[in-house]
Amino acid sequence: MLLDMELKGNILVVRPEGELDLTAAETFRKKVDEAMAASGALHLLIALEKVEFIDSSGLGAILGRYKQVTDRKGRVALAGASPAVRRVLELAGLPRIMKLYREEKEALREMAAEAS
Amino acid sequence: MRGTVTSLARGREEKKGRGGLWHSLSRAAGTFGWEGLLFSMFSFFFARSLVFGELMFFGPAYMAAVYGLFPERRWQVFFFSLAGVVTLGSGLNVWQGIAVYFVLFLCLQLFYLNLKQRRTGIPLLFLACNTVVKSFFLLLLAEPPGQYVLVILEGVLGALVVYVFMQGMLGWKAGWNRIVQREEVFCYLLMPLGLLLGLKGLVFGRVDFYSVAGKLLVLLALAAGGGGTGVVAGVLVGVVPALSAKGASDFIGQYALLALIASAFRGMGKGFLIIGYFLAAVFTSLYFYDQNRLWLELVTTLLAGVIFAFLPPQVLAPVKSWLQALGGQRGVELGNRKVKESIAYRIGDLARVFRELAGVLAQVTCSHQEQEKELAGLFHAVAERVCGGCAMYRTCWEKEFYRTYRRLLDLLAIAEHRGKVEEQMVPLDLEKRCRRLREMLAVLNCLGDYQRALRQWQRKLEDSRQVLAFQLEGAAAIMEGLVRSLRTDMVVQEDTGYLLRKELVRQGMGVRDLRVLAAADGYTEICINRTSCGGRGECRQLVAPAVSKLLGRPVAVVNQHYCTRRTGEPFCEFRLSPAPRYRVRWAGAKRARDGNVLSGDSYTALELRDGTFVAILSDGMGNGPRAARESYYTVTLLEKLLETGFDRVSAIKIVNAVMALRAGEETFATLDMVAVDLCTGRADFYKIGSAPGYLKRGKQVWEIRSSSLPVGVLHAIEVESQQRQLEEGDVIVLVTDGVVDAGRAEEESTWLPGFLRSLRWDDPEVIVEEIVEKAAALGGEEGDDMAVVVVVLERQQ
Repeated sequence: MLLDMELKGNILVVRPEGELDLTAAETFRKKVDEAMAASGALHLLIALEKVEFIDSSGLGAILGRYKQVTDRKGRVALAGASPAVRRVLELAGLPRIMKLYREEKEALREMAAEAS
Repeated sequence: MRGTVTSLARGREEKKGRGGLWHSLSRAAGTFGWEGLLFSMFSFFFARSLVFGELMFFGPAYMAAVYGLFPERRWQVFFFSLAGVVTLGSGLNVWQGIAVYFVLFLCLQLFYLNLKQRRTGIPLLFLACNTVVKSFFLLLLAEPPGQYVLVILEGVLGALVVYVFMQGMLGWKAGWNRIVQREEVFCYLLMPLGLLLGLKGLVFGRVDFYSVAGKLLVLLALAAGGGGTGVVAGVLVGVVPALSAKGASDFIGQYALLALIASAFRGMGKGFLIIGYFLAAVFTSLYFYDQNRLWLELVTTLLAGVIFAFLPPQVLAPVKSWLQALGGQRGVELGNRKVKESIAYRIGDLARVFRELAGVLAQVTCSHQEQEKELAGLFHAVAERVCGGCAMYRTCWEKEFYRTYRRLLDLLAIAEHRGKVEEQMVPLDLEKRCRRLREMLAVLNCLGDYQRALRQWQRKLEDSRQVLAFQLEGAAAIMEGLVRSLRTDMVVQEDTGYLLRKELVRQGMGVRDLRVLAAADGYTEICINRTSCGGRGECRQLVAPAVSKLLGRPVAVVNQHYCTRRTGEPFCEFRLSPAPRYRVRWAGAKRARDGNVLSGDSYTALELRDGTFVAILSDGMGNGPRAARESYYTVTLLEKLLETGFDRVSAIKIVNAVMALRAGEETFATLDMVAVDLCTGRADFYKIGSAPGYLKRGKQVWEIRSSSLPVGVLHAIEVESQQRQLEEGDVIVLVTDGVVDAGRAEEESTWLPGFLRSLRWDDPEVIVEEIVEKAAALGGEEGDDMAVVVVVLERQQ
């Protein structure tokens, strides 16, 4: 799994690519944690445009980040999920605790506005 | 009964060894006491009882019954009976009676130990002795054949009385804290009747003993049992003259009316009751008799009143409890109801306290204002320690307080979040102005560590409070259920109980006690107490099928898991209740990813005490031992909570809160649960972050899904369920996402519903195997752990 990351203000944008499954979950967890610590970002945006598949391990990794970020009073949002991935996210109840945006841009705009 | 035999055998040995009769008599005198007096008195008066002036069966029947149950009193009863008969005069009837006593006693002495079924053997022995002896006399005197019919009638009536007396005496031995059987009630009505018959004809001057005793009996019944009991006693007393001499009697009406009028004075105390009784006697005597008889009636009433007035309370109390026991256990039931209501009230109170505590605990959180206040205090301390004495103090902390406060707050957030704040992270304006920047950063880093630790412990504390709140709520729900069951009035169905018990005993299934309890809604429960079978499962295999057959509807053992095999108790008590309409067959299987041994999925199934079948499946959201541990904990904890009696929603909330409490670890678990009510066939699906479940009926397949977070993410979750009414043959399939996603490589992500539709098996094990094999073939094993649970609903045979 490929992982692209970018800091926008105090928001860390993470762009995983491929399958966010059992194999990729651990890498995702480790790299995002490191980046959050290094960048000093408060909020996290996970852009899922290039994610083809997500399973319970991937969901667990996202939920783990959610717990960490919200513990520090930050917020987590998801953006650009395909219908199949969106269906899995909805089944796991993620929209109940984090916003699901259609696009990354829209998510960044709203998160920045809320942060200020 | 064993004790009785031993006692008799011992008596015989003593007879042989120490000179017999005299020794037995002296021994009887030694153990005379109050009970002995009663036995003697009863023997004497029963022996004098003549029905229709000539049938003499009460006395010998009583002697035979006493011999059967209290053999140590046999000599005493024998001699007092003879004494009673002798007082009747010296007619042929008396000699016949004496002969019957001797022959019966001799036969009992000879055959008692050999009688296997004494309750039927002794009455038959009585019938034989009475018939043979009296027929011999009839033959000797060449009486007409019609007399033989009378002899047989007397023998049959006497045999019945022996049986009823024995039942009554057994009850007397067993005490009153139980259900009184019908034969016993009959015995306790027959005994005063026999005694009064025995008193008939005993006269002192012009005063009739029967009259005095009858009136005393009515008074006692009035005082101990109330108006209704008094009237019954009145009727009983009034029947006696009609029985002792052929012909109708005015006495029935007189005594019943007497009791009815006097009952109006019952609540006013003993003195007023006697006065009221006397006035009622005046009125009824005026109504029923002439002047000559009036005075006699009043004298007998007065005598009865005087005896009643001097009766010690110790005599009235046992009569009261005896009457209550006779009244179909009503008194005991009323007492039980009061106790139950009192317990229900207290448990209900406790449940309310638990609920209130749960509410308070759920609301107690560290408020935002308090946190702000705490933070302001910290910054004040920083200002004092680091900035005190600094030339810029007034500028920073007075003129530009808000700006300084904001900057330090941001830096503290960085320190807390990243573990350390460094000089390059400090905003330029603060860097230029601050003369003690290093000291300030050192203090901020310490504060960051402190804040981080503080937040972690606060979170733990809140989570613990949540867990406690859910546990209290769950415990309160259990208590409320207990209160509801305590308040459900169950009525004892004596008739059904009697018939069931009799039939079970006839079929060779010994039963010590059997009660049929029926609730207002028609729910029936049968409580059975019998000698332990030693864990052979006779309750399930013998008693339940027999009772089902007798009732014509299926019943099942409710608490079969609590077998005396484990407790080692000599007697077993179990309940039978209507058997559930349905039963389930279920199977489960799991397969770890890439052939690993450890799977991150866990499942279990259990049947709860309320007749609900529950299947639970959990997916630890990760891999390896940690995921396996999480799913195992989730399933096991939920199972234990449900077994303890927690309702399903509370149990899931507790599991979630406990998982959330395990901070630091980052593994969550899905929870997929189905609860099937085996009586109604209703299924409740609980899907907590889990993959869709399926319900298959023939070729139709419905998907059951919901969108809720897995357990362990949030401190508190809302638990929702989806209901489906199941039918016979319905198949429920629960799977983890490893199974659902198995077909994604082949672009068959929706393979499972179609596959289930095509399945024709109704064996859960086969269905599970088919699903796992198909998922593996689609590449599921390479992707994720897989687990399947299949439940098939069947109609109970």
